[in-house]
Amino acid sequence: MPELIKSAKSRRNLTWAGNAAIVVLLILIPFFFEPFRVSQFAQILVIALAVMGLNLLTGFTGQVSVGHSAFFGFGAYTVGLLQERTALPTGLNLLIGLAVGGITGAIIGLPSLRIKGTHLAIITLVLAAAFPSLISMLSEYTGGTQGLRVERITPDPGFPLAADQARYLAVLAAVLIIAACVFFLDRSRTGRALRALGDNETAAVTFGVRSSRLRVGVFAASAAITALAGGLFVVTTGFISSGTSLVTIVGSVEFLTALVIGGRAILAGPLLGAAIVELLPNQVSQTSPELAHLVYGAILIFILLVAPNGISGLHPSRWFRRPNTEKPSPAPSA
Amino acid sequence: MNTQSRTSSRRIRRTTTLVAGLAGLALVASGCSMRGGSSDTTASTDSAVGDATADCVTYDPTAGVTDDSIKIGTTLSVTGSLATAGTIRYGMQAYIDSVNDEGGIDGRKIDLVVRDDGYDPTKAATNVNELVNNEKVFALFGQLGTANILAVQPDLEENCVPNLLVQSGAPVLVEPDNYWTLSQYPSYALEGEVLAKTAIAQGAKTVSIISQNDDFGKAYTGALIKTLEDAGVEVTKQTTYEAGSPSVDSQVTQLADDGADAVLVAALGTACPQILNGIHASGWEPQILTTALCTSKGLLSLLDPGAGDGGISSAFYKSPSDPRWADDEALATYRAALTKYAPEADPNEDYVLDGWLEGQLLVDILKSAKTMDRAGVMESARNANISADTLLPGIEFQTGPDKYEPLTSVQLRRFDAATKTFVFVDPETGEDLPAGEVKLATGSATGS
Amino acid sequence: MLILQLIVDGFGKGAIYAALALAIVVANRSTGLINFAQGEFATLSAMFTVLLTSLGMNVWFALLIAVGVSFIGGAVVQFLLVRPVLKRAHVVQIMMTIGLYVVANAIGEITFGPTPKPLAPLFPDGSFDVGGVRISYALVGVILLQVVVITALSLFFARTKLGLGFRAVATAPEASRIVGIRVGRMHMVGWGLAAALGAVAGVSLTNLNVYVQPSMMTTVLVYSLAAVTIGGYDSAIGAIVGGVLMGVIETLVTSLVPGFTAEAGMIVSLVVIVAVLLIRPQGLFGRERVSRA
Repeated sequence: MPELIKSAKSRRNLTWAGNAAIVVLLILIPFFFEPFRVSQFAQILVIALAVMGLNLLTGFTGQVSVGHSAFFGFGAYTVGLLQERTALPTGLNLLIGLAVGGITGAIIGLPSLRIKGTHLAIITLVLAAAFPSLISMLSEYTGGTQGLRVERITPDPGFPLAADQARYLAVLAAVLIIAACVFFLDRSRTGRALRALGDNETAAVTFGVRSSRLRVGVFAASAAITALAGGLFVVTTGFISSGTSLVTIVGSVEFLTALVIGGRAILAGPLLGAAIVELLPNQVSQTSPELAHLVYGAILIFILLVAPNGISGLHPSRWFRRPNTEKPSPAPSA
Repeated sequence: MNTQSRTSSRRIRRTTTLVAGLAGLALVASGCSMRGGSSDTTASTDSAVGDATADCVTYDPTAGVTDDSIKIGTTLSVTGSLATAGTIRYGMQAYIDSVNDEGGIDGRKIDLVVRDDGYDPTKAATNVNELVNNEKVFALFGQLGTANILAVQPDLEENCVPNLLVQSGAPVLVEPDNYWTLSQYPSYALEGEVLAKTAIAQGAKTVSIISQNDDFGKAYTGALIKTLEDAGVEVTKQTTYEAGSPSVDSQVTQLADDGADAVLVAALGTACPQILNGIHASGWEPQILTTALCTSKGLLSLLDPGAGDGGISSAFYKSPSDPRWADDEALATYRAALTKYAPEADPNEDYVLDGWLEGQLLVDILKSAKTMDRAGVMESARNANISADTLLPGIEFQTGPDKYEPLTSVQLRRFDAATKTFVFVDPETGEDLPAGEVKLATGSATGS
Repeated sequence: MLILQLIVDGFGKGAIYAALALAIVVANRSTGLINFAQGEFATLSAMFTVLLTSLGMNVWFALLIAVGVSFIGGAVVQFLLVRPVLKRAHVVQIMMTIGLYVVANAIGEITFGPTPKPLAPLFPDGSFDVGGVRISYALVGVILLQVVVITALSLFFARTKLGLGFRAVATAPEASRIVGIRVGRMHMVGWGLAAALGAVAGVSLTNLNVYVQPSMMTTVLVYSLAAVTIGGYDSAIGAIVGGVLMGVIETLVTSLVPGFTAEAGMIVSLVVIVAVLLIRPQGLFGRERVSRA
């Protein structure tokens, strides 16, 4: 038992002060930057949220998903279609998007009970490749490559905030709420169980961790969060199509890269990763967009070689350890 | 409760307080915005033009205009499957540079900012957002890709930013609601209708279609099908392909199996030669009808010997690879300018000349504007009467209060695979026209 | 008859899926990693071949050189980038191959450019007719080429010292080390071979009316992954059978099922993979394995 608790306390996060400082900075941003920058930051937050979802699966339990772009897409299209075709309020639509993501995640999670590691990476890769095809096949409803225009959330004329500020803060609210939830999860029994599961499944099951329910649950939650990010994306940018890179394999790779670069700290990791992944290519791509992709991939490889725990990882953790075989963890030292 | 949970619940309480406190701070802070005021909302004082700007959410009449420059932005496919079409930027830049060297527009030089969107509508939207709000361009120009144009249109309409001379003939773009978007292409519906009439004139009883699965493809097929059905010709099989798809084999196999008398190829980019080669290899010999966009030099060079023979397509500007224009003065000027300003471009590529034509039209519109502000320029665009020397004889670029489609005539031509050249044909009979003669087909968007 | 024609076409595509699937299996057997970048490596090989032919070289000669260069390239990549992460957690290894995917794709975009270009054909134009079904020479050629390559590979594994050493390392790395086989070197050979196989697959694809362009092998990769899933990750025969099956299934479903366009192939792959993993996770020919996390 002591071994398990020790790993449960693995300090993946910054201190409270660090996180609080970040939150304050995030809140202040829309009041100090011009609208164009604010909408750029809102985009970064959306991606950070998507990466938070991925973190729950890949960061916590070590299962690589190359398919989170599909969940992002399910959320985006669900919310987009609801916004355009029904009169339901935006908040409700976002929650429905979240739920759709969760259900889709659970559906993928079920086969994943028997499918782990590389198998899962393959299935999720194919899922990511299949999603744009699905959208194209249903192009009567989804607009296909043509795309779907969705009216963006806009504050009423009398509201004290400008449109870009309101959108940014809406996304930020979602980010903070989800971050808080994940914090609680991390420190709860379920969180410990998750990390135990990721560390060494056989041992975890021996200690009473209910593997199958947890697996499906974590998939569902992870997918739900990323789907919510997709929904927020579509109501803040106003357009989605099967060609939008965030719903294709490229998007999945972007999320994974952000996770690896930024690390697994619950709030700081995805934020940092998303910021780098969004801003760096834009800086480089003024001259050459292809070069941006190269830089991006090179950074990913570099980080994997040098610091697989990402920039926000503070302590060496299980990513540095040898891959687990079926040997149970060593008996606790006397 | 064990120690762990007690610590957890204490932490939970602390976190809640923290978040609540910050939320409170946020609400307070929102009351006092520390940012500058929002952008101008002044509308032009000219009454007729004032109508156009009355509905603008925001309107900045002279963004991008300084005493000595006018900043114009474009987003098109520099990379991606439509990169060949993206070469229009060379023609655009060359013409603009040559005008700048002669003093520009009343002393203002045009500064063209180019962004790449890889034919991705989301990227196009991002680029336009960046161009308008960050680069602060005066107007958009020469945007490429129907889906891309449609993706950015509502925003530009809302903020009254001109999107001039977009490279698309989608009928929806020439509807009166879209005041701020000016198309530079003959309507695809016109092309579809004209191609259908040719097939009918040639005696085809059955027609099949392969089209790109988006508004571009749909615009063609809509008009084509309507014209055919009106004449009692049967449309036997319709297949689609996704833009950027590496292979169109299975679609071509299905069409060849169907074996109709004629086939409409509503395609773009490298799908064109792939489809035409596939048809040729299958042994099926239909009357081929293609979009004008399939006939650029780069794409034709990818055809297998004999493929695409007899294919009918339309044109509205002079093709630089057509030997009939070898001594043409307008093209000579174009070639000289390209050598000087864009030597890396291929002067025989149709798209490059199209870009040059765009430049000619843009400069004419800017020079004819009564006031150098967005409303003034748009008004000039909406009341244009331009005869550019690179347009085919008899074709004029004309708009007016009731005429939203600037180009309503095209010339039909037939591809001769043996010589890899085009022969102009009579739209009524489908017969080859004598060399040097031009006979236009005229129509308008039937809006499908 | 349309169905027969489609089946024949499916065999052609299937041969290529099989080739790439085999490359994946070879790389996997040597280092225990599914290389998600295998398709992109094949694309780079095809692009290199285009470069060589544009300099005037005969296309077969160019192919041979490309295969050789790809072998070296694959070995070098394994040595520099994959070996360091073999000791790390599985997550890191998978992410590395994804990183390779991104970098290889980007290199292709930068050096080759985005405009699709056809490659000079390996086989003569034309086809012969068998009862209404048109079989192009290119199709036959592509299939024969893969057969030749696969036979050569089997002979290599069965008869040569290097090949035997490779198989030893694949099945029992520690024992091989004791016996004196240079395990690290075998890993490089494995990835080199995989890259060489990929080169053949990529160039063969261009003979089926596909133009060389960045991401040209992305859909092929997905089909090949489905193929190795069907066949078993460590079975060469499985890869081949799986590849051909996927080719035929994909062609039939996307052409005949109403509402399914050509792009639906991705969805078909997904369904196939999920089905196989649920029913028989080790694939048709794979060995029953204790699952690795």
